[in-house]
Amino acid sequence: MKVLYALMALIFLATPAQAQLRVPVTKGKIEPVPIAISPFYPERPEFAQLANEMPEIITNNLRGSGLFKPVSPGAFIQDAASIQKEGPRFAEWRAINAPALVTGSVTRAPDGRTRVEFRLWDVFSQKQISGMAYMTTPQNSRRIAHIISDEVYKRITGEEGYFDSRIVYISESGPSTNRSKRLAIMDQDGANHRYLTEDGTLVLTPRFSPTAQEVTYMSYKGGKPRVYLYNIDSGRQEILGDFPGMTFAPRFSPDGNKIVMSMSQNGNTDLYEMNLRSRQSRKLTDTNGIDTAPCYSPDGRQIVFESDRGGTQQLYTMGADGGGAKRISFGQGRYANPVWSPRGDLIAFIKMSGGQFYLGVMRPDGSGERLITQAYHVEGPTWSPNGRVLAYWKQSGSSAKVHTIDITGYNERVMPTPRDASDPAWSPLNQ
Amino acid sequence: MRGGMILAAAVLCLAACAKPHPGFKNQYTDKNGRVHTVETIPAGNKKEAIMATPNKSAKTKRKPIEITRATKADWARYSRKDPDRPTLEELDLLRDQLSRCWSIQAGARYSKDLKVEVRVTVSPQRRILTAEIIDQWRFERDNYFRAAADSAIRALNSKECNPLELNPSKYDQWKDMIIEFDPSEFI
Repeated sequence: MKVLYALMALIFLATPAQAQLRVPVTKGKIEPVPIAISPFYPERPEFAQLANEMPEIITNNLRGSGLFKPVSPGAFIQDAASIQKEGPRFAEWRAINAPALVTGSVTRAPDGRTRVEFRLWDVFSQKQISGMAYMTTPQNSRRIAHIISDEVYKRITGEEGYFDSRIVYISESGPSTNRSKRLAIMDQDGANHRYLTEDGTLVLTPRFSPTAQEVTYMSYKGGKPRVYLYNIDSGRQEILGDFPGMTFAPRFSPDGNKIVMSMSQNGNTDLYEMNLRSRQSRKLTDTNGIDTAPCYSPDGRQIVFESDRGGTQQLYTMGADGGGAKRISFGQGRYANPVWSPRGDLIAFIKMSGGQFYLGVMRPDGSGERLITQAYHVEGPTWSPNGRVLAYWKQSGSSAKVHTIDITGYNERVMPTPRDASDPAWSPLNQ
Repeated sequence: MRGGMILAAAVLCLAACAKPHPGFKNQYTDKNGRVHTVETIPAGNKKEAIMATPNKSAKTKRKPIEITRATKADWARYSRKDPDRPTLEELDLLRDQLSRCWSIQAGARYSKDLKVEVRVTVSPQRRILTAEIIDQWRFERDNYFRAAADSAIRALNSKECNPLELNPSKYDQWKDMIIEFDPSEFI
């Protein structure tokens, strides 16, 4: 058989006129995809505001991702009414360099509800490549716009979106000697901001459950460090337990049934897991060093954590049962705050070297380390639900703000918050 | 509370049938006990593609042609033997032009394994007539590959890549060719 293949190859080499020309292209430009987001067509005058707002939210979402370049509406030739009547005139959208087009309408459903419909078009092939319709009440328009943004993002990039998600963080105010820290929540674009805890209580390190709209956080209410579980939808809070010596809130396992945490006992800090149903705890590490900041891999089989057991603060991975610990960071400086990406391919971390803080990513085996941003003080990385964007907080002077950045290191943005902001935690996609 | 805010979702199952958003099911009951259902609506536009992306008939008819990859030395030998064959310089010119048109999704997952082969036919005026993704099976099943393939087709349809920078006197050589878009060097 091998001889036959070799003979065939020789025939191709000997008769070049028969070989089809192949052109390998291995370079390209890293540039956002142009996309036109047309105003939606309002069936009735009372839908006009909604029909204008939704494309604006979609435009802001897609532009904010850094992967899309929305075409200015001033360049549009065709209006929403004629799209609704006769469909897109593709030549006109091609003329303004829009390879992708989003159209939509807001109408009244037979049962009286509002019906929002969108379609995504491939302008070159003149085909509709995605489309959805929702029946809702007008006050839900923001969320519908986020869901539409997620669909467009997914169809064009191949990855799940992250726009229909929220971020909890610690809202800070007051002088450094008497700092107020409250738990706050907002949509990923900064909208719908609200406080979850009252002023005057010190709260720290919120963590989202991967399976429910629940958050754990540390609170020093009454001067005692306790871990609370907060259900965002119902507003219900419960005490998960008293954990003296704990400095970070626990992290959930991917199935939401367990938490992993570090606790200090008799001057030594080790890792523990707790079953949330039985409330039984189990010690996972037992070394002389400080083992802390644990985080599960998305398949729940491994844990990444930081430890100084080798003499300096470095990152380690081990099995979820505590066995087979292996150091994965070997660069200069100290490594902390490891967080496993939801898509499993990267671990985000904070690196301290030469008096600077860096946010970086590496593969789970420690290879491919890349530093993607740097500042006097950077901390608390958290992944977007699709593992494409990182949120973290950055301190400059006396001010702290939550930032987001694409994993490529492009498109760093400041989250709009009413006051100083730290310790962000990104939710899974809304349920 | 938030989940119950949305009253219903309806999915238009179209050319590339989008799955419902994770937050929505075909039918669910809200907190007030009301049952909401998903409706299915046919696609609105029936126009056929000018550019074949994807060509449904290709699924059964066409298979990738296995060709031994020529080295630079082989290519130089061909060019000497066959003066009509595009020279290395001419090919580099074409590759540079295509690189300028191709917008890569940096940071995409699995980018090491997203090489897209596109069979193109070109008019004597050096404009792309058809562009067909060879691996239709993967195009229809792999979201990442489909996104990479779409970016290749966008490049071939862009103004900057029409007309192609090709030697008009060698039309027979490039009127039907395979272009390989390989993003593995990015990320």
